[in-house]
Amino acid sequence: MNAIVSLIRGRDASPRCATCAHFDNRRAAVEAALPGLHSFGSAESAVRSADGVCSRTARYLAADRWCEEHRAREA
Amino acid sequence: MSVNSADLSKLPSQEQPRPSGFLNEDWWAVLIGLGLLATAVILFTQGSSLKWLAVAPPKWHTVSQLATQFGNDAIRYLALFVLWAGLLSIGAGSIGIPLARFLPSFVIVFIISAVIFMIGQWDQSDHYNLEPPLVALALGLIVANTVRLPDWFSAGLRVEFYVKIGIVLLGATLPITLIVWAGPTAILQAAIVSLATFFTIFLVARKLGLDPRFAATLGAGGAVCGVSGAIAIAGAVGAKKEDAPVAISLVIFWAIVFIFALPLVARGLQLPTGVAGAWIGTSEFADAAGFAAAQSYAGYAGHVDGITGHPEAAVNAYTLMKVIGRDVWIGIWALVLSIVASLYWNDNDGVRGRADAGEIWRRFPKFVIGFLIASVVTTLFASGHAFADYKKAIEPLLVIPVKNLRTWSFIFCFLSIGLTTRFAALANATRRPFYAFTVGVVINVILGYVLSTQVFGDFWTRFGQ
Repeated sequence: MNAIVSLIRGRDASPRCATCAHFDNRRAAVEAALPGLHSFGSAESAVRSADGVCSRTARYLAADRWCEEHRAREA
Repeated sequence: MSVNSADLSKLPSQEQPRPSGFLNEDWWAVLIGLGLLATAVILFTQGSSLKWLAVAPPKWHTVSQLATQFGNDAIRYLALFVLWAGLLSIGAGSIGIPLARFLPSFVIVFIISAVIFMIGQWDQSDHYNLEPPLVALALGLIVANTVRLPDWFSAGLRVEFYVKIGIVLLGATLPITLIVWAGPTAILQAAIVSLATFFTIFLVARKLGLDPRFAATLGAGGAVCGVSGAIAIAGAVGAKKEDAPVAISLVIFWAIVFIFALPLVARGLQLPTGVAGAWIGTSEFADAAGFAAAQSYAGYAGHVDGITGHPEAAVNAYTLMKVIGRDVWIGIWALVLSIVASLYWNDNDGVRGRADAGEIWRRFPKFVIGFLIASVVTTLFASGHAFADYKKAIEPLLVIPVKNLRTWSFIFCFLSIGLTTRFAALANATRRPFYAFTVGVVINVILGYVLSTQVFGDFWTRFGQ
């Protein structure tokens, strides 16, 4: 139960993947990482939300995830 | 640009990171589709029509007939090109596609689409199975897999953009009363098949030792909405970067097989159009692929002996099953699976997530809103007129022009599918994911057939009449 409560509450103060230098959700990057996406899908589709590729974990992640290794993206 | 080990802070940043909830492709499809419909309605109420602009090649018998018709309508085709190019350029430019690349590419897409549309209007096309979706797809596949196309050409091949605009325009020809009547059956049938397919793929994949996130990604690709389902769930559960492309490859492989196979098998079984549309909607994986299959089957009605039902019923039943029955639930699938992933599938890389009901809206396929609005608008508009008036004025001056625009948008889409599907560029699927996905495909097709023809067969037959 504690795990579920913690999951729902989350850690709002943590900086998210969306602002991390390891994370890229630009169309070109996502299309390059997911060959075939352009054929029957789209990197601009609403279902993709703001997901992107994390170069640290080599995972395709939602932009609202976080981890201790967050590194702010340069402006 | 490689994303494998890139330090993204140092990458060139012509394209900005994608924010959540911005004016994406779905919303542009809604704006363009509803804008066209609003224009058609306004012109109609002013005693005019979009008919002149929404040109479609008429039936022809000889090439000289075709040449004469084209000569007479050349200025209309040019005007239609300007309309599509203008609207699509605005949308494409807004989602970051450079106009200098999009426009030249779209010129080619439009010209080839016009040729394909004309081939489909040949009075012998049914005899030779030259339905526009199949011709567009086959031509595109042959070209894409034998010729090296320049990179700039891909800018105009926006499969999803075109199909979404087509779906919004389709709403204008589907009464909301029909959606309300048939929607619950479509949702029930689609839910049964989606759950059965997902759990089959997921459990077989797990049994074969695949990572649970990968298993969920594969399952969603087969059960919900193909490539879109796979990438939505891959993001929601945090799949490994190399796993999502495998799911995409498998979806594409089976989607292309079914574009050709489902209409042919349904034709062999002489299924009524409504039943075939429901089966295709239950068993095809990608929206665009299913429209190609359903539109092909619609072409058989009235031309192939033994196939009963209205031609539009194949596309309408397909749309209800796929869009209303399957696509709109992707946000709920994503939310549930993201919770499961956070609770039970944590890796040791320290990535954490938070359950957020906003996920349902963020991933909601917004074009469905345009589809429903278009349906409500035309239903309300038509309800104020007697049936005789509808047949005499509304149908030829309002509905058919919108239908023609829809057909154009779908042909752009079908051609783009073929031209963007380069088998050599797809990720290789190893045996285990292939087996897991294929077992799900078999269950999906059989269950979809039984539900469409036996359990709900009478319903979909009536729907088609």
